[in-house]
Amino acid sequence: MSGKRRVVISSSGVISSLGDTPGRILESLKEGRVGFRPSSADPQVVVCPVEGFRPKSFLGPCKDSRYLHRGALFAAAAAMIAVRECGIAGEERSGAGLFVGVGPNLDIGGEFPSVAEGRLDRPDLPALWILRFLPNTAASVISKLAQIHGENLTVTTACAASLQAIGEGFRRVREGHLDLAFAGGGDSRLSPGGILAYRKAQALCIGAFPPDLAMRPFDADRAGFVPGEGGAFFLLEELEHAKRRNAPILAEVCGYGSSLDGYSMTAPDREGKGARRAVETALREARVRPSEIDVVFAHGTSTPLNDEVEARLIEELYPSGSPPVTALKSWIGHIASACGALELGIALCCMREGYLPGIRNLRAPCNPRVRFLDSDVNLSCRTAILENFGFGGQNAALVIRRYESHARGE
Amino acid sequence: MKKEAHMELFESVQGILTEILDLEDAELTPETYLIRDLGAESIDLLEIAVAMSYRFKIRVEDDEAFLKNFRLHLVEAQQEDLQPADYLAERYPFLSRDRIEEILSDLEGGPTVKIKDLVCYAAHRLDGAPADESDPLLPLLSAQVGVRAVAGPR
Repeated sequence: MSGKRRVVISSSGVISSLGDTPGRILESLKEGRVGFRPSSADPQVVVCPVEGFRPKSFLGPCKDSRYLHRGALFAAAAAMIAVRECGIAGEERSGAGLFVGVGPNLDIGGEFPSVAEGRLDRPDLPALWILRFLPNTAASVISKLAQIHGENLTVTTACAASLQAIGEGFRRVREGHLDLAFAGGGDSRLSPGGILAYRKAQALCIGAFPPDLAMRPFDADRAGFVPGEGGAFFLLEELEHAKRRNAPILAEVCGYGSSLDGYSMTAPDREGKGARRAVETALREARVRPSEIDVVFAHGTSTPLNDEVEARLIEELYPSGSPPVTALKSWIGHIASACGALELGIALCCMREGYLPGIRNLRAPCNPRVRFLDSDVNLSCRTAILENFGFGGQNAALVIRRYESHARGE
Repeated sequence: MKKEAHMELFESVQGILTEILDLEDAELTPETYLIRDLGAESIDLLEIAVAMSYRFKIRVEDDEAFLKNFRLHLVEAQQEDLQPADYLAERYPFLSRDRIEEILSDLEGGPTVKIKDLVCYAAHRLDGAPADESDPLLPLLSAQVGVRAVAGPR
C-alpha cells in the first residue's frame, strides 16, 4: 500500500426489510424471511417495504424531519445509528466528512394530492416545501443532528449514488483530506409516484404471484425488479486513527471505481464497457487481481438487460472461472440510490459470519459460465467486490476486504 | 370572543406548535415563549404562519403575529416622541395594554412572543375586534395552569 493510507469501516447502521441489526439480518437470511408483498398503490406490482419504520426512534425529537421524504428519513435514521455506534464524542467528530447518496422525491401524489392544471399552491402547503425536493436536505439534517461539519458531498447518481458516496468518502480518507467520513444513503420509491415512474419505464416485475417469486436476478424467467426501501450508513476511518482508539474494525475498503456509459439513458451499454471500466478501476485501485476476488455482490436487478450484461461482464473478467456470485436484491428488492449502501451493510454481516446467501428464485441461470450461488453457503471470504449500475449509465464498484492487521507485502 | 372559544384557539395553536416543532410531550402553556423556550427558528415561524392561516382561515402577517418588528416600532415611537405603549397598541391591536407593558419590561430577555400572543392574534383576526382591556386570556390562563400562570405583572 506504498504511501497510501488504509481505510477501514469502523461503524455501521442498517435499516432494511431483513432487520436493523446484524443478528436480525443474518437470522432473516438464514431462515429465508423476506418482506415481498403486493403494493397498495398498484396491486400488480410487488414491493418490499420496511414494516414499522419509526424515524423518531432513530432521530429523536427532530422538527426538521418534516422536510425529509421517506427515502431521506431512512438515510438520516441509518446515519444516526452509525453515529451512535461509532463511539466518537461530538466534538471529535465535528470535522468528519459526510457523503450521502440520495434519490429524488418521487412521491409527487403525496406531496401535491390535488394538483390540477399545474396549480400547485394550496393553503396548507408548507412554507419550505422546496426542502422536501432539494437533494441535500438529508445531509443538512444529519449534519445538524450529529454535529458533523467537515467536507461533504451529496451524490445523486441514480442507483449508483450511495456506492459512489461511499467511494468518494473512502478516497477523501485515503488521500488524507479526512480521518473520518460518514457515508451511505437511504431511499424509498414505494409511493404511487415511485411505482408509476418505474412501471412506465417497464422496469418492474408485473403480476408476479406469489410475490416472493417476483425478484429473481440472473434467472431465465426474470421480468423486472421489485422496489424496496431502507438506509445504510458507515464510518470510514483511517486505519491508524481507528487503531489508536481501539475501534472495532468491520472491514477494509481497498478500491473504488466509477464510470459513465454515455450510451443509453436507461439501458446498459450492451457490451458492458462502462461497467467494466468501473470494476477494473476498483480492482486496480485495490491492487487486487480478479482471481483474488472471493465473492461478487452483483447489482443483479432481475431486469432482462442488466443481468444479461452483468453476467457477461463477470464471465469475461474471470476467464479462469468466476468466484461465487450472489445478488442481495433478491432478498431486499431494489433500493434505488441506496442499494449499494444496503448491500454493503448486508455484505459486511455475511462476510463477518463466513456466510453467503444464495440468489433467491434462481432456477435456470442466464449464463452457465458464471458461478451463481443458488443456495446459501458457509464460506470464508477475504476479498469481495460490490457492483451497482444505474439509470443514465452510472456505474460504480467497491472492493472490500476482511480486515487483517498486515496488508500483503508489508 | 367567549372563553371557550379562546380555549379552543389555544388548543389549536398548541397542536400546531406540537406538530411543527416536534414537541410531543412538552408542556405548553399560554406563557410559554415561542423562541426563548421552544427554540423556534425563522423557518419554523414561516411554517407556523402557514399552518395558522390554514387552520383558522385567516391571513397571518408574520411580522405582526410574531412581534418581529416590536423593537423597531418602539424606536419609531421614541423618535417621534410618542408614548411607546400608545404607539405599540396601534401597531398591535390584538395585544392588551397590560400585555404591551409586560413586553416592554421583558425586552432584555430576548424575543418576547409567547403562545398567548398567537392566540390573541388568531382571535383578533377571527372576529376583528380589538383586545378587551380585561385580558381575554385570563380565564384561559387560570383554567390551564392555575395559580402559576397568573403570577406576574398582571
